[in-house]
Amino acid sequence: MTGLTMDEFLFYGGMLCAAAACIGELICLCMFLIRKRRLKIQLEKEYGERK
Amino acid sequence: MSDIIASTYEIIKKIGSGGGGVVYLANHLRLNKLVVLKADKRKITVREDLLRREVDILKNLRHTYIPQVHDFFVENKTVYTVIDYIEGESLDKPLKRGERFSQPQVIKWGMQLLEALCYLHNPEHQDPPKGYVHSDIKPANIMCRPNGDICLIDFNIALALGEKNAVGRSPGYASPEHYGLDFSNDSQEDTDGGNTEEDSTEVKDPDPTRTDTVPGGMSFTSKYKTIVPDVRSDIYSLGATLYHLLSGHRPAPNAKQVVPLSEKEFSPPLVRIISKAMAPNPDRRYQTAEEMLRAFRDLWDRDPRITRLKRGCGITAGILAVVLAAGVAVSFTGLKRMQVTESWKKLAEYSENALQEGDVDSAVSYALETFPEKSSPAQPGYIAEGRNALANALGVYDLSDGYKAHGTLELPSAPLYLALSPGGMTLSCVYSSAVAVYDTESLNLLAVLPAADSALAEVVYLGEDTILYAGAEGLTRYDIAEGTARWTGEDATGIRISADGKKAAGIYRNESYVSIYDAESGQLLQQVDLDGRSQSVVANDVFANPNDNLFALNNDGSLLAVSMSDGSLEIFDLNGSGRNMVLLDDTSGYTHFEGGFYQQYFAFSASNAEESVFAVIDTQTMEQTGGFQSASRFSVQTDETGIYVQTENLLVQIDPVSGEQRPLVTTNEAIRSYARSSENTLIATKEGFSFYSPEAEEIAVFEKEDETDFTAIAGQTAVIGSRSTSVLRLLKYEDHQEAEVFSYDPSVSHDEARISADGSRVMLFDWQSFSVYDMEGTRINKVEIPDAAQVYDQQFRRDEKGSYLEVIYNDGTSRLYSAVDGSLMEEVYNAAPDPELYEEFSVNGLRIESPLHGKPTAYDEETGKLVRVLSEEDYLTYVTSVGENFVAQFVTADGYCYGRLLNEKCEVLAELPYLCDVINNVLIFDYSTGDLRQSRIYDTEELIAAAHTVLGEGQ
Repeated sequence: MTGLTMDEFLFYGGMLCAAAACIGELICLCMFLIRKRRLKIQLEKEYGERK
Repeated sequence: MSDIIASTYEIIKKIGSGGGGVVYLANHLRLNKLVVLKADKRKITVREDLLRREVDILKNLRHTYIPQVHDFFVENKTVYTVIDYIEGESLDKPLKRGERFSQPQVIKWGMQLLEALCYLHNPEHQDPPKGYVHSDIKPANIMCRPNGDICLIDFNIALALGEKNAVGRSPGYASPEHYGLDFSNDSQEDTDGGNTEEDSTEVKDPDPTRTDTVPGGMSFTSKYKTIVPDVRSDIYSLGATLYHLLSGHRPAPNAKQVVPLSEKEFSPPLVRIISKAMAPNPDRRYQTAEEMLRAFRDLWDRDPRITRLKRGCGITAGILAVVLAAGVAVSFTGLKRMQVTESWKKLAEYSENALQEGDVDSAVSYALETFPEKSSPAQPGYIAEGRNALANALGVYDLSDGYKAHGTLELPSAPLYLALSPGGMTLSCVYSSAVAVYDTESLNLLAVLPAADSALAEVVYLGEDTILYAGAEGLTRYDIAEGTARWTGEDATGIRISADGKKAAGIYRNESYVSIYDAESGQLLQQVDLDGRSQSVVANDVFANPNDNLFALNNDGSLLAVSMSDGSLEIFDLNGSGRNMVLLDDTSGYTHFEGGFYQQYFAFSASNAEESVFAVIDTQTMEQTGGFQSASRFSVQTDETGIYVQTENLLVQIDPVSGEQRPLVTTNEAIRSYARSSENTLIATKEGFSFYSPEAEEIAVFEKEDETDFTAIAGQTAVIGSRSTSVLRLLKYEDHQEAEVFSYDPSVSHDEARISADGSRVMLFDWQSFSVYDMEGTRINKVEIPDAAQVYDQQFRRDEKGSYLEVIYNDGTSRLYSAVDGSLMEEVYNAAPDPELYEEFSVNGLRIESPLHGKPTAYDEETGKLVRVLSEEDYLTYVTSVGENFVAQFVTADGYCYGRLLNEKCEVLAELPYLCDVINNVLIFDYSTGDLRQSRIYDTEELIAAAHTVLGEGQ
């Protein structure tokens, strides 16, 4: 029989979802760090150095 | 003024003057430290406590942003206060110069001022604890050090918290309370209810510490008032100061007229802080310096952009975390299900293996384990392999008559000898010094009896419930039903009983005599002297029995035949007439003997490594009536039905008079062991074992890995055993006559059998002819198909035209023959069919292609995607939908028809041997015995229930 069984679909599909979510988390983290840095610069410009 | 004050301070220069007096920069001569000298211009006649006001406040304060007071003295009627010199300039100066400060700078100063105010307002420093309100915060009273930090100075009009002294006010920076305005209820209140004038009014206090005049826009007629500012007044003043520092202009003295800072020019959060600090209603301001300081510190954390960023990232991360967790959970579930499926497939395999070995209970048990008791996400539903294994183990679709696997018995050790009761109800097995008796139906152990410690020990049945066995104490008669021994004779290993059951003979190993007993009473009737000879026995007979000896009694027990180790064979007359007959003397050279009595005849074989001889002796005439010789060993058995001889792959029955041989069995492989019942013959070869009908037809075949050494068949029971394993296989004859729907002469040749739609007719047909029967078996018509050589295909159809056989010819002509009476209904002319004989079926969303020279293959009807190849070798003849599943019918190259129950994925749910038709969800099987039998299709729950029943019965 060709194609995946339902169980294989669940297994590989789940792994794919998890992998995509991991990658998404990494991208989100990178974007967050970049935007946080930019915002920090902007806030330091507005509010001075944070104490 | 002298340059040296109080002999300690040297005036360096005047650095300022104001309402409070003159301020000098001086040098502490001893400490060599710059200090500030504030010379109070008020006369010394003023109350000292008023003169010391600032000193008394500052002397106990220690804070980075508040100057330290060092001394207080009077000289030349001038009051001097010595305070830390704060390098830098007050913030009013750059403001006056038109300088603007950056927002970060102002925020930094604001926080430093608030830290100072937190300390100042906190009533815990000094003893007793007391807090102060500065009351005059303004740019002029804030020093900016060279390092950029500030210092809050000029505590002249500062108040202790709770004091009710009149204070001065700096317009724009002073809170409304300083003017006696009470906006706590958001209404303006004149303390004296006086009129308003747009002129500057100087406020005089009983203690003139005022610092500035009130500008136009708000004034009071009262010149003397007492207000109680609190920490919130400082908050207002700080806010106003920051307002000025940011905007560059002083806020309006009237708090309600203050124009809010532009949120376009300054950060909205900062604007909101300052606006709140400058709320006219004190209750709406920050209530403490800590609160306002926290607001400043939260500028970073609570900036909307930070909040938005964190919220956005938090939501995204949260969603992704949920997706990750879900993905992991789903993947884990899929993995678990795959593992479960694989384990179930293994169990299905174990079931098939157990079934092949004849262990039905284990086969059912393994197959049952593939069906979960409770459903859960981690467990898939049943697998097709499991359902197929269970159906096979239960044999629900095997409706053929014959011997079927009944179960297995495991002995404590490998068997040495087997015997079945005449009816097959019990089985006695000799193994290592014991005899075990089993019920062949329930497989229960009935008895374990101590046996002679020899591999030569035997057991024979006197009747259905009585055995004679080689007991440890001697030859013993045992009643199975009562479970008691009736009598015990002398030691014996070999045992024989006369056909009439009255006499029993026993011989012990290599003793030189035979004991003859009355089988009923056990009375020793006589002992036959073997004249110093003995049977052939191996040196160690505990484990080995070469079965080389002949030891037989005739029907009435009057004759005893014994083979000897010296190669002689003699028949002893037990009646004492002296008519002993030596058939072979000690020069024969033969080492292996088999044989027995049939009526008055004695048949035997004698063999050695080179040759084997067979002979039949008429014991009445003492003459040989027949015999032959061969290089292959002859095996001889006799019973009340005749004389049977086996050599290599042939088993025959021999007429003792004519010598005529009637073949019973012919096999492909050499026969290792055989047994006979009144109905059938059981043959064991190297490949397995099989059953033959009296007509010498093979009716059942079983595979077996171990070589078969023991075969026994009696009544409905057959037993297979091997010296190499302690497991015995039991088979029982099963009869499924109740499933019969039609019976016919099995000699009628046909390829297919079909039942009409109304169930009243049966048609048996092949490519040459067909016959129509009614259900009682009466043939209604037989038709020879014309031009049979030109027949392309035949299809039995049940449709709106009725039930009929369509014969399709190569030229496209179709002849339709009625299933009612075989008459020609119709002749149709179509286009010539595809010579590749391609058929296509559509069932349950599947398109199944069946080419003549290809493999039948199923495709998804919608997508065209390959689902499965249905068979690698066999030809698909028909497909019938049965609910959500379907039945595919196949025929092998040698004409064997069978079917398979398949699911939507074309997985096999059940094998259907001998399937010939499916009508109204009923399966019809065509057996070579001339029967059509029917069965319904069992669903999963029914199979499970049947399995539990089987296992329950077997427990």
